[in-house]
Amino acid sequence: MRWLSRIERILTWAATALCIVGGLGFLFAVMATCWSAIGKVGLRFLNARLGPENIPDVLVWIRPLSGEDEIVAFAVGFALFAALPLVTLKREHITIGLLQPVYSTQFNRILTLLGDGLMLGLAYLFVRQQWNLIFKPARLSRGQEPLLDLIWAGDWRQIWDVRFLDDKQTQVMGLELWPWHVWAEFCSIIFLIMAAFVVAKSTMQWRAIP
Amino acid sequence: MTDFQIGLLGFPVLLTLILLRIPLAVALLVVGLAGKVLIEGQANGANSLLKQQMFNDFNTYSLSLIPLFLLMSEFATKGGMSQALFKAAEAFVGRRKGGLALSAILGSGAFGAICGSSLATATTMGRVALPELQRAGYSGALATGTLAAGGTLGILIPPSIVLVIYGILAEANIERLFAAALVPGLLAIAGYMAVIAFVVRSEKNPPARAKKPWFEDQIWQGPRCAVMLLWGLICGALAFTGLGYAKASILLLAGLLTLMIFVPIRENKGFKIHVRAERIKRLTQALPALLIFAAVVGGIYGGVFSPTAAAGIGAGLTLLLALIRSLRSDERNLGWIGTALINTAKTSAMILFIVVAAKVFNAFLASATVPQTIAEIFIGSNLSPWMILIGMVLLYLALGTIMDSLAMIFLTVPIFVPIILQLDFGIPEDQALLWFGILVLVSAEVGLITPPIGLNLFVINALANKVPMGQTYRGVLPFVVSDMVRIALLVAFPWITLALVRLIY
Repeated sequence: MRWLSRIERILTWAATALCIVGGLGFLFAVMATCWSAIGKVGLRFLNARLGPENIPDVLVWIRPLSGEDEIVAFAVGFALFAALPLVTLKREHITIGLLQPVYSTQFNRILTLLGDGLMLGLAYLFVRQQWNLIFKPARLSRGQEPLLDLIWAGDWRQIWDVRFLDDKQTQVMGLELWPWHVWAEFCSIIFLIMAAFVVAKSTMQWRAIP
Repeated sequence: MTDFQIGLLGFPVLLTLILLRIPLAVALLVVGLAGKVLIEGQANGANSLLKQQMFNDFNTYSLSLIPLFLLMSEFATKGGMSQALFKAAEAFVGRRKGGLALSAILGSGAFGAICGSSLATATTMGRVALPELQRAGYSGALATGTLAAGGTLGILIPPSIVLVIYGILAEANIERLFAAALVPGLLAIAGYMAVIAFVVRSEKNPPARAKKPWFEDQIWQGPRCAVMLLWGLICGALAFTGLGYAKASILLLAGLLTLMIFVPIRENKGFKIHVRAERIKRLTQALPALLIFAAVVGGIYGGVFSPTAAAGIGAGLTLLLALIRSLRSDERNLGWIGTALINTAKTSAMILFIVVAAKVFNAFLASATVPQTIAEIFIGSNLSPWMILIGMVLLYLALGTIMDSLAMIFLTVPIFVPIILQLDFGIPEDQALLWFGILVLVSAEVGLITPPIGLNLFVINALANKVPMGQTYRGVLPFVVSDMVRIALLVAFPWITLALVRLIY
């Protein structure tokens, strides 16, 4: 099954690259927190030394980041979504292997396949639900057409103006949420692909048993 | 079938799936979603739960604390701080009987203060201390047992990932949990050191004492102890007379440290004492790690930062230190940053995926009114609250021998916490939550070193490839006994856990 290991190599490379890109979100979160802490301490110092009214204009930038919470939360979320495909591909989700030595090899492979299959099902549900955070699902009872039909008919106005959910924002910074939903959906699709590959791999291995 | 019965049925199904090696997160999600659909009779609630929970939990500020503490642990491991901490501890206790093992425990405790992961502490300290312990003639059992037990200090001394997860699941205040964990953590260090002192004295072939030129000979240190005691009394008096506990504690620590370093030890004839210079040198080398601990935990206790901000600052400082160390070394390869980021991202995604799954499962249990009903059943029974608590702790200890500590916490906390909150232990509800959290943490910690599935045992045994697993099991047993004694003390005297919380908050 040389083709399988070749695909696995490509997928591992892709998932690792995605994980590293996501990991930069952690560094960003760390920098934002440190910057904000320095600003907080600096502002306290300036307030104590000069008084809040007498801080010169050149030093007004010394203050905590407003919306630090949101920056950190979204930077970390960026990294977490990006890491999920690699964890799935490497099968690193926590399992309790207490009875593994008791089961036969054949039964263990069936169980692995079962676990991978359930993961694939959940990955599909995640992709579907994340999609619903980007586009409103069609209300067929109100005569709305499914999104695919709209795309087929080229009704872009309906898609962007009515169905596309771009009205949600964060509370403090007013950041639009849709880019994060798109990122989450992108990572969920990669997660789904990895889960599908893992199922394929388990099936091959199971069938390969003499 | 009533909703409660469906909820109860969820447990055997979940357990079966888990024993069938289905990933924990998947098992929780499958049972949680299916249960919710069964109770509500439609899939809308389950769908919207899945839709919101995943995105919201992955992008939550309070949960960001887990990845940031993990990142801090990764950078601390790469930053070589374990070596400096071990050497600093050795400068203080290395000359005593079993001094190297004592240093390993102190070093692990100090490393645990900047690293919230038990496995990372065990691995890092194992790499640093195991060769030295073996070189000094320590038996394989004592060396591996010491390091496996020392590794548990990683989750016991705050910051601790396990404690954060408990805090999230039980909706307890994480700052206060960190404060509550400190005294039990110090007790653990004291207990482990007592075990080493006992084992070394009872061994047939005890390890030779370190013969290093900078250590003091056997001399009487009575006057020094008297001065320390006096200083303790003065600080205690100052605390009561208006200085405040926090300032008095800092004064006490600073004074004791100064005394240990500077107060002259009587010199013996012809024996050059370089002890002070050496201690200062080694403490200076370990100072960055100690300062990071002071900034992170002090910042949280002092109310300067939120735990998440403190974790971010800790990660930033450890990254800075690791960068400096890397740039000063011959091989200026920064590839470790990528490795640290990947490791952190993977572990965090794995943990937070379970958090999402556990929340879905908890939502199912809540809609089946399982926690409330079970709590009412326990309260209605004639069992004493203490018996129920002891039963829970024993269950944790039993589960710890066969189950991963995180899995154990995710599965039990949502059920046990409502029961604990309903029982009367003579302490306020919020403090009972903290106290129970520490008991859960300590039980989880014991699970890391109890055979047959003690993760730390495997890690350390893998490092000490010449030591048979049986010896490691034997070596860790006295430490498990010390843990049992500590758990009994913590159960019997809640004030041990709560003293610092009451003092600070």
